[in-house]
Amino acid sequence: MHRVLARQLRRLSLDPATPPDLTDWQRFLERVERSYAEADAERYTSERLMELSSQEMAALHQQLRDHDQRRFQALVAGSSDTTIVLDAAGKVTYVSSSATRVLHLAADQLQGQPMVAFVGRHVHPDDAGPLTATLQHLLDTAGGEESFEFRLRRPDGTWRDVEGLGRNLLGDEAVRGVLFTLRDVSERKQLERALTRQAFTDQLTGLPNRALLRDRAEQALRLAGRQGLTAALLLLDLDRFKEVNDTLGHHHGDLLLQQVAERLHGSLRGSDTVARLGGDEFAVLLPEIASVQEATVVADKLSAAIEAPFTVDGLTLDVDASIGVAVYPDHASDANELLQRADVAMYAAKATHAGYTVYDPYMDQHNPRRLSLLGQLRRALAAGELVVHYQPKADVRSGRILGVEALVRWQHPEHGLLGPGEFVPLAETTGLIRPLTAHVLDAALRQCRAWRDAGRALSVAVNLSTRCLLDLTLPDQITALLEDTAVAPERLVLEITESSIMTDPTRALEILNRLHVLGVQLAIDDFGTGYSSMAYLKSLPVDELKVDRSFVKHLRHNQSDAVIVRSTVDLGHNLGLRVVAEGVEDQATWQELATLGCDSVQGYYLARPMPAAELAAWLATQPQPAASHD
Amino acid sequence: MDVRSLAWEPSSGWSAPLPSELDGPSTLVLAFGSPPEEVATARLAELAAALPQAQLAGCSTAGEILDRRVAEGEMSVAVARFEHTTLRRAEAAVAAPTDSRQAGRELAGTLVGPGLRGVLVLSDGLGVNGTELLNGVKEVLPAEVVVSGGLAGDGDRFAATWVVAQGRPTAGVVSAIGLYGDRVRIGHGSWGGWDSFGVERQVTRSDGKVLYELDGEPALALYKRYLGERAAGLPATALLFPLALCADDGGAGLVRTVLGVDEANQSLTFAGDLPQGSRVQLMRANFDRLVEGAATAGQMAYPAEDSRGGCLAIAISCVGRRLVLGERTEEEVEAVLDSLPPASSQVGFYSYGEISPTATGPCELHNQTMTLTTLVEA
Repeated sequence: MHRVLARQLRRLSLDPATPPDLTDWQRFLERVERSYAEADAERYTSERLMELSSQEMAALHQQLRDHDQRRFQALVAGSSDTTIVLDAAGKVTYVSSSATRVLHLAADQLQGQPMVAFVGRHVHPDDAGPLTATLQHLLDTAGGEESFEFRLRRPDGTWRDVEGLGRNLLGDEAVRGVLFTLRDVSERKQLERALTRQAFTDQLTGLPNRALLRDRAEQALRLAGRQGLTAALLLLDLDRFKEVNDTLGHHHGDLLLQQVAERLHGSLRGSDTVARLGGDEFAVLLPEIASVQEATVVADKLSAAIEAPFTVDGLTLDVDASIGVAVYPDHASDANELLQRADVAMYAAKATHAGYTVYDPYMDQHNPRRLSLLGQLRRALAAGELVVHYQPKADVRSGRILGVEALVRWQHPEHGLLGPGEFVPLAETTGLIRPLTAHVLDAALRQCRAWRDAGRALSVAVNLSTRCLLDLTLPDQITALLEDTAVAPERLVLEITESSIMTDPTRALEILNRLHVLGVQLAIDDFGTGYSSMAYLKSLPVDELKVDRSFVKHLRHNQSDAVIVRSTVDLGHNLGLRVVAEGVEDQATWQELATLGCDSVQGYYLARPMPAAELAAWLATQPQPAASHD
Repeated sequence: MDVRSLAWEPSSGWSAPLPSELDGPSTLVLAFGSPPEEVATARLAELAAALPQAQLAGCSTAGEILDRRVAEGEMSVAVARFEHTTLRRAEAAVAAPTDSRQAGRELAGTLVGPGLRGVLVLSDGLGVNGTELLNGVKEVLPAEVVVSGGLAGDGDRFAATWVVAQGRPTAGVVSAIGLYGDRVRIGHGSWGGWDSFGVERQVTRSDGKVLYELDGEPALALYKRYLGERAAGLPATALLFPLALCADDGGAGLVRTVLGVDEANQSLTFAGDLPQGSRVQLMRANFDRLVEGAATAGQMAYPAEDSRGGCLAIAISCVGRRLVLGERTEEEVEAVLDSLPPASSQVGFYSYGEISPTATGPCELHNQTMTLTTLVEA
């Protein structure tokens, strides 16, 4: 039974199996009639708005066409046509006086000559063949009519665009010939070319713009759809471009964008399209690839091309790119959707500092799957699907392991192991971030206690989101957890970002002070990426600064990053803070950090984040720190 | 937390004895209804007599919601006694729409204090500028306090609305209930389900909430053209076509719903501001997308804590949705209840504007949404 009908029966307390009495029957009929009337009204509205909005669209379209038509007339006004008549053998029997102006030849130079001779001498070699074929076809076809275009060489060697119409009137007594009207359309052509260029290219870089990219993407997808091919779209956004613009000015920013355009262009095949979509955003269309992997290889190549330092007006500039990859037909069914998907993937790459990221439906905010993921997250918490991995942190000089950073992962039954970037921002948009953080704190402290029981004195760091940091009940929760696990407060490090604190500085300070009194250690995460004032930083009861990985990454090759790291170390030490560098990926960077006076390091060169059990085995291979008792 | 819900119908009276055993200072009584005002006055007096210590709040509606049912001319009541939560009530008068921001400041100023977790706001639906009211609230309350609620309704008549103040139906008033304590958990969700269509138009003449011209054409004429024979049902039928206020960055903008029309100057009055020069697009919905949207709001507001005992869900949905859904209105109310833990109670109303937090701020005035607030104690 239709659910509306079922509800109507229920609201009138009628049983579908028993006929009602007359009163109930009338009440029932009233309701059913209302439903029909509503459905009619709904259909009426749908049809009406469809009709009206298509009328409005058509009117808009007509307006645009009228506008085009007027522009065209304005362009051709003022130029007059030249008329030429050929006999059946193709010889010129008549030339109008305007030939001098249009063809740059005196009428008698043409009179009596074979038209093909004129074509051979004065028409652009690329156009001569098709034009000769058209002439022949017209001479052979009684009543035939053809239009054509060609480029004509003027006596000074420059080229003009000529448009013509030919009609075979050999059968017409009044003419007895093949009649041609020719006109010089160079200006119109030039304007058309300029307009096309303007409409489809980016003025700054000369690359195709968004409109042309969309056009090519649509073409590529049509072709791929017909031939069962795979195509990919890469959206690329420069990570530190704004800094360049802000600190050096737009002139340098523009020069940098031109160089980026050249590098991107130079890294691609001829059949690929690279476009600038605006600002520091570029797109690359790969119309024909074998697989998603091939697209990621290109993404890698583009990343590498952008990572190498740029020299602009004698200055060395470093930028990174975040690249979002979306593939047709896997991720989208049309060009629009493909662009949107690549955009979503790009933001995911940016959020996770991943370099490039291939689109996955659960990145998409507007995707119902994201909402379902949010629903699942609640259950995942209870089901123990959220696991904590630990990444070690070592003393930069002795290499001894000082502690670990706890990083949450979601062992998702369908999607596999998900990194925090894929669900923590989601949890942050709801109250779920609180139980999630409580879970990580609890797991990390229990693990810390287990290590201590096994004779390993390690500190454990846990990341706090804005919402948790500003939770007035946080200090009490932490006190309870520390008591429960019997972990000494100084073993717990809470990592907070500058931007979290700046959301509500007064309140953050109050809570941080309370945590500090407890003895818990506080670290500023991603230091250098925010805009906190030094004066304010001094007032915070923090113990540690963590230098953001983006500065560590190019440390050895980029003088300005090295300066930032050195000043962070100096600043930290002057304030009596420890300084930790994140994202250390090779020994040379480690060495450099030691030279700069950094205290400790963390990164893939030392170890990736790993489950507690794996970490225990790994620790066994590391030098044992001096025994300490909590 | 102990929750009871009951209804009052003209033919059969109260559906259950008034639960006077739940009376106490931490008891919240929510009463939404659309009977004639003198009937509402009498029913509210009965509630106040049975539950003299409780905090009584409520307002007039464009349809009242109780669990799976939507009714008109009745009263929907929920009585919730909290164990670990303190309640406070504040009221502010709004003599003219220009007082709205000040009223918001005043209410928030009365309620702000240690332990404040959430505020439920019920406002007069016609004489208050909801956007400004919330601007005032936001100036005072800390960001993490959840602010939700709605604007009172008056069926599809747009003539007179009331809010319960000092136990009586009163026009030109905003009331607010503050919830305090560590153990109250407040979930919230808000979702529309409308799509924009057709050409984008520019607001060529407007003044605050009053829209005169779109692309140089009188706004009312445009609506009449789109409504065709259904223009006879104005102002109610204008609710079929809310306006999407296009965001500058091309992202999702705000939705504005029509609250009144003025034949004399061919204008429409909306529930929120439509700045001159902004770009707008007509919107449209169908049954399924609206019902789906309501379920989404339910999922968003699903209580974070263990709530096997169910929760109290306060559902505030837009009168415009009711107009589109018609006989199918109860489907959206059912969809919400089905997406919440079993044993949850739902009370609420069809409104002239919904209040709920957004991703970026503590609260915003929404239109054309199902907005849900869930209450549970840990």
